[in-house]
Amino acid sequence: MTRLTHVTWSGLLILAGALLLGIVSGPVTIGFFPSLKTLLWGIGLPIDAGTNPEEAAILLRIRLPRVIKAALIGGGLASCGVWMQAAFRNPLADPALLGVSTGGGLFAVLAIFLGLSFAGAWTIPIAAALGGWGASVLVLSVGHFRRAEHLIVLLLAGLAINSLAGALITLLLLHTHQVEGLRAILFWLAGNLDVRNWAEVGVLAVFVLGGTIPALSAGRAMNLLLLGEDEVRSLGLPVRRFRVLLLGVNGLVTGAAVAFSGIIGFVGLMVPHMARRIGASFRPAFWGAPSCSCWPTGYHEFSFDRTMCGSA
Amino acid sequence: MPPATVLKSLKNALRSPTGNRWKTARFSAVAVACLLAALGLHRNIQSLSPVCPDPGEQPRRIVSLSLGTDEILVDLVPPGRVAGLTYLSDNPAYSNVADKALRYPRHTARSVEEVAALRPDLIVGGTFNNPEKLEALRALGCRVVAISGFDSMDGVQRSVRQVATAVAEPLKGQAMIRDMNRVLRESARYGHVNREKFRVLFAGPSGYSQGTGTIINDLIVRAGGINAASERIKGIGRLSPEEWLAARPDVLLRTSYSPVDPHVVRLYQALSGRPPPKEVVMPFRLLTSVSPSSAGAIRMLAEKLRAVQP
Repeated sequence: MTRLTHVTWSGLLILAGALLLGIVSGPVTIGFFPSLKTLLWGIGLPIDAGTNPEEAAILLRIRLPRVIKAALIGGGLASCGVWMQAAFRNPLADPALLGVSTGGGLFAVLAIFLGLSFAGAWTIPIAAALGGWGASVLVLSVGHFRRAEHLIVLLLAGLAINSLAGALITLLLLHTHQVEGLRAILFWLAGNLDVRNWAEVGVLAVFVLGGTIPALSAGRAMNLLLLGEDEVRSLGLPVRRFRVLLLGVNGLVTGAAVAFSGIIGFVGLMVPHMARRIGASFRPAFWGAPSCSCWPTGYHEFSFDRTMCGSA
Repeated sequence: MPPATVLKSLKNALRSPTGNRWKTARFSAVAVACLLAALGLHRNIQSLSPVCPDPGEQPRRIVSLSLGTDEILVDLVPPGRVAGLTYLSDNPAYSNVADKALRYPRHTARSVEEVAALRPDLIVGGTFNNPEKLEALRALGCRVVAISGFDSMDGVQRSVRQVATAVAEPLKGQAMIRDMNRVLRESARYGHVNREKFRVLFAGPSGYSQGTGTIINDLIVRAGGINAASERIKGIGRLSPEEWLAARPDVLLRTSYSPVDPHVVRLYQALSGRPPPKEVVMPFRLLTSVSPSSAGAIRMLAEKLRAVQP
């Protein structure tokens, strides 16, 4: 069995464990085996669930979508972290580097500030996604305009947009005069893993899986990037376009994650490092990161959020 | 470089030496399994009973999500019809109905799951509760009433009517409003003194004050004062030292928990040459919880303003 296979299977086991832990643990005590049986009944296996209808509803309509959402967001952000650290050849890079998170945050806060409701409950996620993607496109445009010969140009553009968007969010907060608006903004900025309906999980899955799965096989190319641009170019890889592709997909996936959960740090920066310690190169890390991300996201899910930050 | 060449180069770089057929088969199997599980889940979720029971004509498991709605509910419904008031409702530092709330069940539910586990047939909250969570509760089929009148006594009365209708106690709601109006009339008599009205500035934490469109503004005006911040701020905002000077407050209104910054007062005194404004201190709970008890806050403020010597 190769190292890659080891990492993949270990990651999948961690993923399954984290998902199960997220489902069986919660403020309402249901018990491990009843929860497991309900879950198996829920996905169509012919067994007796053994739980009452209320507990089944809590497990399948509240916890399960929430845990899947956490896994998708954690996996997406962790994958983006791997791409960014490869694209910039910098261990400090994370998905928020191009201003995607703060750009998304700015548009979401703006939507709340202006009281927009053009798409009902989807207004803020749509605004956040547009902001995140807009910031990403802006940074890439700056890179294109400057020919992006040096990574530093993209890096500086991303940092500048991050700072600008962060300052504008603070400005909007200071100019929000109604308590309800202020609280709505703070609630959004604090992040939220609650799920309104399964459609939300479906839309998130399309963006995260659609961006992540095709890119899963790019680990070799990322390892090549570590050699340096000239060397990689001499091996036939179109460095600039590959990098733009990575940054574009990063914008797409991170923008979707920000849209549905608010700004989440840590996962995109640290999980790639955790996964690389197992795999020692980008290729195993690329497979391991989405799975390992469930640990911190799951931890946030059942511990921090539920006991300290949850607020009705 | 044309896109086709780019794709070809990428494909070469990404090609696995072990071949892709076996991987494709495994991936397809996993995808099909996921699809089947999703279909099963969809079918079984449809068959589940609703998380929240149907309230029928009269809700019997009411859950309150805010202190303001706690204070409305205790005057409208008996303890037997309430599944939970907030955990703050019996805390005399925050709640104006702490004694009454002791007879009611209380909850510490913060997450959607915890609220749903109370099996509420009616959830009463405010627009200042987390909108995402309220929306998630609605999506689970729970009946949610979010009141929004926190900017004036008229708004409070609207909220009382809204909650009274939701809990099917409109007559009790009308009685509450009559009581509030009686207290407001008394306050107007207290506030009517034969002298120039005081300019009252609400001194909130970190230099924040409240201007037009806020309950504090309504409280000051109904208590017979002039809100000194109303010309400068709409809603909640921060007053700079020069705005303090321009506001010319005679009285500083503050809660028992937030002292006025002495530097700002000294600066005001030094720059304006006027004596320092008098301080009127109100209990924290009366100025923070927007509810029928705000009428009592107006009466207390009117009495305190009357006692202030010009």
